[in-house]
Amino acid sequence: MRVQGAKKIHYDSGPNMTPLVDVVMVILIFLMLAGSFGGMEHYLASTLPIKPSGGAQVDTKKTAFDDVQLDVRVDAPSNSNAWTARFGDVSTGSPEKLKEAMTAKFKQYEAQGTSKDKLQVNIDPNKHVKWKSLIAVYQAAADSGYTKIGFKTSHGG
Amino acid sequence: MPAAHGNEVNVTPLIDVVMCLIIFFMLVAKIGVTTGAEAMDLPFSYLGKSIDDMGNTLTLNILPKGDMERIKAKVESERIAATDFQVTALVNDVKKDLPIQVGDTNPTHPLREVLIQMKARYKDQFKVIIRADADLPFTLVEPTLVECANAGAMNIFFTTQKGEEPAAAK
Repeated sequence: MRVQGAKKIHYDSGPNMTPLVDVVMVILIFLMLAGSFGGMEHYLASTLPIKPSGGAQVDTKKTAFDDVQLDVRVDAPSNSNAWTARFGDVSTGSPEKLKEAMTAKFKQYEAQGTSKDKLQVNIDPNKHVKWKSLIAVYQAAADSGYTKIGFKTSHGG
Repeated sequence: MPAAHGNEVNVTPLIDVVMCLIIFFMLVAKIGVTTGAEAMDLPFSYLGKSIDDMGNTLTLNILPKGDMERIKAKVESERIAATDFQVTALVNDVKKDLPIQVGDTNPTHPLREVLIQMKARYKDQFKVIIRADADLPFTLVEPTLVECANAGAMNIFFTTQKGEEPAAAK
């Protein structure tokens, strides 16, 4: 009777896939991790200079004079998260309503044949308005289709 | 006849994994190059884009100074408004405070010098990333924005967190 050896003998019958699997797994893990690193933050882009509404010293060279100027006045009481934006006849503290009003205006200009490159939104906050509120206003403007959005400074409080 | 292996340990997979880990850490170190971004409460936004090329950028952190517990208090009656702030940035791989005051008219303060130097170096490719704390009032963000404009920085990015602001924080 033939006794089986304690050692099993391995025969090559094709390419060994183990290293390949190892590498693929590591690359997979890498991509998962690398993907999550950059995923928490993003950026709202602005290519407009800041415009003075009372002060001086500001570069407005690249602002075309024939652009349609659309002001969004933003007010807030001191130390409050509430805010009110006034755009034309609309006064609201809701980003959604502000977006509706801005979108309607944008479509109106679009219908008249005005290019969006000729529409400049100036966010004009008082000094108490919190940065997160301004980002909400900025986002409402950007989401309405406007591409030229900037801030006005020095209108006080 | 196929070759038979003995009972020696096959180290090939181990080497593969180790090599991959080395490459992984090298790449992660590259990815994780600090931009000087500091931890803070960023405002939320659902819009926004990523920046693929972080070269030619200056990241400015604008943080409130003072009693942070009260500045960040959820109850409005307990909350106080931030009245002071600091601007920091990573300049030539060194973290620097770039002090500036509200209404600062000093023509040679550090923030202005850094902005002008970087604008001269990178010209129109120069990008400024502004990371401002969500609870800062505009009056404390404004001086930095004005300096960016004065330095001729035309590519300005505001850092936000992806998503919606939690209802309790509104």
